[in-house]
Amino acid sequence: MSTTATLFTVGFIFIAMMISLWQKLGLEKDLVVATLRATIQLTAIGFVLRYIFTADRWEFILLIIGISIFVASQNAGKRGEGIPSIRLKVFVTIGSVVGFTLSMMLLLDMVKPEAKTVIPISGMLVGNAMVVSSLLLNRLKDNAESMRDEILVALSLGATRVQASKRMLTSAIRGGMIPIIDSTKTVGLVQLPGMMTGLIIAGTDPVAAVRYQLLVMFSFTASSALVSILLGTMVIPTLFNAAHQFVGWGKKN
Amino acid sequence: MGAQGTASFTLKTGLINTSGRLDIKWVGYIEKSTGCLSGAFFSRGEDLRKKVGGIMEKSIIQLEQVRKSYVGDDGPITPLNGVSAVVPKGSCVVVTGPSGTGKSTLFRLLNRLEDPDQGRILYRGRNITEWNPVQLRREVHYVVQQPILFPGTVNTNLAYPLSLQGKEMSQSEMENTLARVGLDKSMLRRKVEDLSGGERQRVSLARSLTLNPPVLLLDEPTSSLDDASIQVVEEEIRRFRDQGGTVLMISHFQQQVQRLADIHWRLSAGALTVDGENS
Repeated sequence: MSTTATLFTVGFIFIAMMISLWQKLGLEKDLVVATLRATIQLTAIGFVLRYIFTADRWEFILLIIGISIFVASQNAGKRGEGIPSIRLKVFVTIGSVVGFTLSMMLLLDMVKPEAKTVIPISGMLVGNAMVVSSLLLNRLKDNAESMRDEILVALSLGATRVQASKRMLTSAIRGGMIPIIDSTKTVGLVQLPGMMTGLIIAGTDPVAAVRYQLLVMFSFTASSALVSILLGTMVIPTLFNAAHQFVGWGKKN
Repeated sequence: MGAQGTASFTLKTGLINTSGRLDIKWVGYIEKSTGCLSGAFFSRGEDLRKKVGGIMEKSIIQLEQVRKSYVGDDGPITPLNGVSAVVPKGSCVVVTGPSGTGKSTLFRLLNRLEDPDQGRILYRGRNITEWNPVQLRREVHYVVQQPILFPGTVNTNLAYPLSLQGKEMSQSEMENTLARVGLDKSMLRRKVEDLSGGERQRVSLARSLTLNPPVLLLDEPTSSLDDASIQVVEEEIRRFRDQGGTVLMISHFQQQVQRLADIHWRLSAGALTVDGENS
C-alpha cells in the first residue's frame, strides 16, 4: 500500500466525525484521540517489530511478550477492582497460560521458533487471555453480589468456602468461555478472522492460512479454559476469610 | 398454654441467674407454682426436678457481653450492644423484637457467619472461634428466613448438606425427613421452581433437618405457612426439643411465644431482655 493510500485511510475517520457532529454524539474528541493513539502505537510497534525481526534475539522476544502480558493484566485487572492484588494474579495467570500454550506449540513444531511467528501468535494468545480474564472477573464480581444469599445458605449448611462458591465459579467460567466457543462455531460463515484475512492479503495460500487460523482458534479454547480455572482458583478464596466467612469484594463500580 | 409457657420460662431464667448451680429452693418454688398452674408440662415433681437438674448441668450456649455494630448509610448502627444470656440444652428460646433489632445478627454470630466486635460466644463451654467453623455450622445450624433452594429438584436439595461431607442419603431417610415437615414423598421429584412459598420454606427446613444438628437457629420458620402447616412445624419443633435438641427461634407472633417458648428473649435497641427483666 502506498503512502498516499495510507493517508487516505484517515478519510474514514472524517466520515465518523461528520456523523458525530451532525447527530451531536459528542464523540469528536474521543475519535481524534483514538486516531492519534492508533497511528502512533501501531507505527511505533511496526518499527519495533521490524528491528526485532532482523535482530531475532530471544531476549527481545521475551521482553515484547512480557510487556504485552503486563499491559493486558493491568487492563483486565480493572474489571476486578476490590479483589486483593488482582493485577498480579491476572499477570501470573496470563503469563503461565501463554507460556504453556506457546511452549506446546514450539515443542510440537506447530509454529517456527522465530520472532516473526512467535510474537504475533503470542500477541493473539495474550489478547484472548485478557478478554477471557475480563469476562471472568466481571461475572465473578456480579455473582459475588447476586449469589451472596445462596453462598451464605451453603455455608450455613456446612459447606467449605470452596464448596459454597462452586456454583458461582462454574457460572462465571461458562460466561467467559461461551463467546469463544460461539465464535469458533460461526467462524468462516459470519466473518473471516483477522489473521487469516491478513495472511491471504499478504499472499499466503488460503488453505495454508486456514491451518494457522485453526491452530490459533483451537489453542484459544484451551487457553481460555486454563485461564478461567487458574484465575478463578486464585481469586475465589479472597471472597472469604480463613474462618470460611463471606467477606465480599466491595460494591461493583 | 400461656400459663405453662410463663411458668417454665420463669423457672429457667431464675436458674440461669443463679450462676450455674442448681438451687434447690428454686425447684421447690417452681414445683409449687407449676403445680398450681398446670400439670401438663411437668406431670410430676420428680420429672421437673430431673429436667431442671439437667438444664443446670448443661448450658449449651452462652453469650458474654456480645457486641456487634455495622456501618450503615446514616452512621454506625449497633444491633447488639453488650448482650449476655444463657441457652440451656434442650430448651426452646423464642426471640422477639422489632424489625432491625439484631435478631438475625445474633443468629449469624451464633452460626459464625460473622464474628462479634466484642465479647464472646461459648458453645459447649468453648469459644465458638475455637471450633472448626464448618463443623460448628453443622451443629449450631442456622435456617435463614428466606427459603433459598438450589436449582434442581427437592431431592437434590435434601441430599445437598450430606453430599458436602461425601455422604449419601437413602430414599427412605429423605421421605422421613419430608414427613417431619408435613410434606408428601411425591415432593422429592418436584422441581424447586414449581414449589409454593410455603412448600419452599418447609423444604428448606427439611434440608436443614438432614444435618441432624444439636442446635437449630430458626429465623421465622413459619412466616409463609398456612395454619395447618404451622401446626405441623411447631409440633416438629417441640418433638426436636423433647428429644434433647436445642432451638432458638425468631418469631413475630405472641401466640407462638406462648405455644413454644421455654425462654423468651426480647431484643430491643441493642439490649436483650429475658422475660421482661434485664439479662
